[in-house]
Parts: sequence; structure tokens; C-alpha cells
Amino acid sequence: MSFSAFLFYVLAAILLVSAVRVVSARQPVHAALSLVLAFFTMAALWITLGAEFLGLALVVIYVGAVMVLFLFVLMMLDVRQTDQTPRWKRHLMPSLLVGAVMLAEIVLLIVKGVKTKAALPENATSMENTRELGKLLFEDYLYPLELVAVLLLVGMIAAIVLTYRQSRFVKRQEPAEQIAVNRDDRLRVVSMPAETETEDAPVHSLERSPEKTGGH
Amino acid sequence: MTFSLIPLLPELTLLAALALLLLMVALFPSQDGTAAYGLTQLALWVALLALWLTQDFKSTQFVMGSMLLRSAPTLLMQSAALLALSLTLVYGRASLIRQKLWQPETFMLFLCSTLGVLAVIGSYHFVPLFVGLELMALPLYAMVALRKDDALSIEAGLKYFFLGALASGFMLYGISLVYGATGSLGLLSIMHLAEGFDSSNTLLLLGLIFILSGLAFKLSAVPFHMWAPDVYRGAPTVVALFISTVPKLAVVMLLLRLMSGALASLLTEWQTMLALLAVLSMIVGAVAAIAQPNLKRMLAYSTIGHMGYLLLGALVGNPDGFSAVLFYILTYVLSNLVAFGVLLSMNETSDGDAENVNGKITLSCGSDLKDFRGLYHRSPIRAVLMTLAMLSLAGVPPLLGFYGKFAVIAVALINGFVWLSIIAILTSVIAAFYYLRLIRLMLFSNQSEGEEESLPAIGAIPRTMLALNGLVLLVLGLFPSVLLDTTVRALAWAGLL
Repeated sequence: MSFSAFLFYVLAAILLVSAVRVVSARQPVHAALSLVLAFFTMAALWITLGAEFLGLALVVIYVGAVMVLFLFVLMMLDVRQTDQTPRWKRHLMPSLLVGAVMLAEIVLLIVKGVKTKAALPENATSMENTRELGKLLFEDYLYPLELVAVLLLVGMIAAIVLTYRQSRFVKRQEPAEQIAVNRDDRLRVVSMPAETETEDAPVHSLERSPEKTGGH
Repeated sequence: MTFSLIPLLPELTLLAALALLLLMVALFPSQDGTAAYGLTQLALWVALLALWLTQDFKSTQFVMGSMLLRSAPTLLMQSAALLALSLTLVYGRASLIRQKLWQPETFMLFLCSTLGVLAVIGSYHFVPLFVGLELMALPLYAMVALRKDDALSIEAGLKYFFLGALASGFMLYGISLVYGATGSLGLLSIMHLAEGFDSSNTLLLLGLIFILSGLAFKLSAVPFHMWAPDVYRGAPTVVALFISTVPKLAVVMLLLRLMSGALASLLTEWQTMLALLAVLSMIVGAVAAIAQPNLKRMLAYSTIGHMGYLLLGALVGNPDGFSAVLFYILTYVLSNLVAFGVLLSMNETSDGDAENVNGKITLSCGSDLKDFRGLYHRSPIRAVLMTLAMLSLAGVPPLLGFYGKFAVIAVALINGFVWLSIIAILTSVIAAFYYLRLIRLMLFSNQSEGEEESLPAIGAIPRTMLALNGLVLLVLGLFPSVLLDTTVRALAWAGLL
């Protein structure tokens, strides 16, 4: 048994065990960590098959970003550990069925062989994946790549425009400014001359006007 | 592989303006839309200039392999898109301020969508075409829902988003089927690979059906039109104007490009499906518009009808038909700009003035037909311009719209689509009813008592541009060969769309 075959069996065994752990673990966090392990082993398998870019992308995107987010959410939520046996049984038959169909499909593909129109290049293994992908992406497909970049930017702008509620047209309180205010900003003491009585000053006798007291 | 970025200057100009706008907002967060408006207009005109300076009108060239096409028709349609957005913003300026949308973000979204439109018009490969379509559509969803406190606006945005996402899915699935049938994504190589294919190639046929469904949604052709009236009604009027003009230019171009080039081998199937879409659109556009009490909804159905005539020209499937369609879409855009321009100058209330009637929030937004009663006595210039626009949309002789319809129906008749032409003529007579009804309301009925609502003054620039635009409808209507010859010659020079 060559070293690469040995590596394959070790990685495959780890992959299978971790995949089973994903669905059998009681603790959601354990399941998520098993999924991380499964992704990681899968990436290692792909790299041994010569798809180094795909493997690294799996690690960077799924292990590095998606699963961390998963774990983060799981740890934020207060998931109670409950006895899950009844739900196990309820889902057993459909999951077995789906698994059987998937297995049958894969076996069929392998046995009957895959007929593709576009044949793989002769020296596919000797080419460097990453270099070829990079060339394709940044030379041939540069224009759509830039468009996609703008598309992502649009998503961000649109999300901000639609959710940012503190419109510049809305008046709002600034507590910091309210606290920092001092007397001189608000109060102005004006010295006024003393009141002198004039002839056409208003008469302050309205409190007891005839209309109001007339009924008594 | 090396390539020069010079043919991409128009797109790069818009992108640079977008980046500058973002920087401006980051540096001066409390600014209103004035500077952004100026920058957007400047970018549009610089892009227009760059378009005409970098491109030779008579030559057809592929850029970046065969990913992008630069030819006379693309130049024409890209210029039309840039001009239409520029005019839209001029007309909509006052309305944006009234609706409290006078903020830099609004202009960013307009710019992004227009960038997508330019990309779709100029691409000759399915990848940039699809990405361009998405770039065109995504800002539109946000723009429709821009009035965040207006239930109608939010509802319209949500509807448009869900249906648009579905249509994009259709489109993408269709593209993947075409890829499966031919093994290529470049339109040029698909054209060679699919040569000799007929409808017995189920994969290609299914691909065509799905792609056409996606395109019909974007064009709001019946039976993919359900979103149009609600979106036009709920969206801020400026956005409704934009949706009804600029993206249509791109989608029409894409439709003609696929029909004349990559998927030309399935011409019979194209014709069957387009005939169905065209007949249904013309009938629904003519009949359903009569019952609409709101001008924006009426114009939505009018757009649906116009897309029907446009597809009638397209289904002929020869260069005469294609140039008639290009001419038609330009006449439609010019007429619609005037109609919406007048509507934009009316007294639209903002979202803050929603009336709560019986627990149901309604907006009297100044776009109901009754608001136009006796408009001539209040504002003759608005009434006259609106009359011009309505006559042009209805297709009444001395105006530009007549020649658009004439060109399309004539091409269909010459090529033997007699029944379709008869339906087109009948529906255009029915459609004339609701256009003329609005004219009667404006010119010949008296204003109802107690409605002494004053209209806001139109600024000097929008008034001049609107008047010029109306004049163009009349002058080009008197000399239609100027524009018609341009489209015919552009197509002849380019050789391919």
C-alpha cells in the first residue's frame, strides 16, 4: 500500500466518523465542531487529489467563515439539551430513503461511467489549479469580476439605505450635548427698567369677568 | 492576454463617480443631495462624451476576447440610456426633494443601475450579461422601496424583489441549459455551435423558453406583467420613470441580440412565443388601462401595451424588424419621459402626509386622474406637454409615437404577419381611448369646485428641458426619417446586434 493510498484511507475514515458525529452528537456545538472537522478532512482529501485551490477555498470559506458564524450563533442561542430520541425515530425513515437514493445515484454514475462533452485537457494534473483559475478570473473574466464587485457594493448600499433609520431629516436628542450645556448657552440675564404705570396699560381684572361669575 | 481599458471609459466614469459619492458621504455625512446630483449629472455627460470619443461609429469591434461588443447599435442604446437618466434626474429633482429622497444614496443607486444597463447593452457573453442584469435590477428593488415609511412603497419593493429574483432564476437556469446544449457561454461561439440546431434539440429549446421568460418579466410583457402596475404606483415617481425607460433599453437590446445571433437557429420557436407575448401584452395593455383611476398605474399598463408592439416588431426576425424595434423603443422612451416629466412636476405629497381612512392608509399622491381635471386652466404648459406625450404614446399622426407604431406594424405586415398586425391596429385604437380621456380631462373639463390646489412652479431648467423634449416629439414626428435612418444605418454598419 503506497503512502497516498494510506493517507486516503486515514482521511476517509476520519471524514466518515466526523460526518456521523455531525448527526449523532447530542450537543449542537459538538455537532458543529464535527462538521468543521469533516470540512477540514474533505479539504485535505481534495488536496491529495490535486485540487489544491478547491481545498484551500473550502478551508478559508467554510471552515474559516461559515462555520465560525455557525458556532457563534449556536453559542449565542441558549439551546437546551433535550432528549431527542422520538425525533430521531420520526426522521429515520425519510433520511434512510434519501440516503439510499443518493447512494444509488452515485453507484450508478460510477458503474455506468460519466459521459461529458467537454473532455478534460490531457495534462490536467500537471497544470497548477490556482494559477489557471487566477488567469481565467483576472484576465478572461476580469470584466464580469469587476461587475460582481460592484454588485456586492450595491447590496451594501441598498441595505444601508433601506435600514438606516436615523434620517438626516429627523430631529433627535443628543444626550451628550444636553449634558454638556452650561448656563451661558441657555440663559441671558437682561436688565430691564422698573415698571411704570401708564394710562393705556391693560386692566388686570379679567379673573372675575361678568360672564364667568354671572350665574351666581 | 492584454487589452486596453479605453473602450471601457464610459463604465469606468460611472464607477469613478460612484466611488467619489461614497467618499463624499463618508467625509461629509450630513450633506443633502445637491452635490451628489451635480456629480451624477457630470458623470453621465462625461460618460456620454467618452462613449462618442472612444468609439468609431462605423466599425464593430470585440473587446476583451469576445466578451464585449462595441458597435453602432450599442453606442446608440448606451447613449440613449445615459441621456434618459440625465433627463429623468432633471425632471425628478423637485419631486425627489418633496419626497425627502434628496440624499446621495439615491444617486448612488441610480448610477449602479445605469452601470448595469451599460454592461448589458455592451456584453457579448452570458456571464457579464447576467451579472449586468443583476446589477441593473438589484438597485431597482431598493429604489422602489426607498420611501421607507410608505406601506405602498415597501409592498411594491418586496413584490418586485421576489418576482425579480424568480425571473433571474429562470434566466440563469435557461443560460445553464444553453450551456449544456452548446458547451459555451460566449454568444459568438454559441452562434457557431448552435448552427443547424432545431427544436428537436430539447435542451436548447428549454433554455430559450426559460431565458425568454426572464426577459419577458423584465419587459413586463403579459403574462409576466403582474408586478408592473403595483411597482409603478408604489415607487417614487422618479424611480417609476427610470424603470419604464432605461432598463427597457438594455433588455430590448439583449432580446434582439439573442434572437439575431446566438439563438437564431430557433427562429420559428422565437416567433411562436413572441407572438403570444405580443398579442396578450397588446390586449391587456389596452383594455386594463381603461379601468385605472391612477395615472401611474395607467402608464404601467401603457408600458405593457407598448412592449407588445415592440415584440411584434421583434418577432419578424429580420434586420428590418430589428431596426424598427430599436426605433420603437427610442420613440417610446422619448414620449414616456415627457409624460412622466409632467407627472413629476405635479404636487406629489410625501410619505408624511398619508391619510388614514377607516384604518386603511391611503395616499393622495397627485397622480390620480382626477388631479388632472382642468389642468389647462391652472397650468397651460403642463397640459400642453402632457397632451403631446399622450398623443405620441397613443400614436396620433404628426407625433413621433405614430411613426414608431407605423414602422413596427408595417414591418409585420410586409413579412406576412397579417393577423397580428390587425390585432395591433385594433388594440391601438382601444388604447387611444384612455390617452384621449386624459387629454379631455385636462383641456375640456372645468376644475371641480373647492379644489383650488396650487401647483408648485417648475424650475427653469426642467421647464426648458421638458419643453425641448416635447418639441423633439413634434419635430422628429415631422421628420421621422432622421431617427429611423439612424437605427437602420447603425444596424447595417454593425452587421450584428
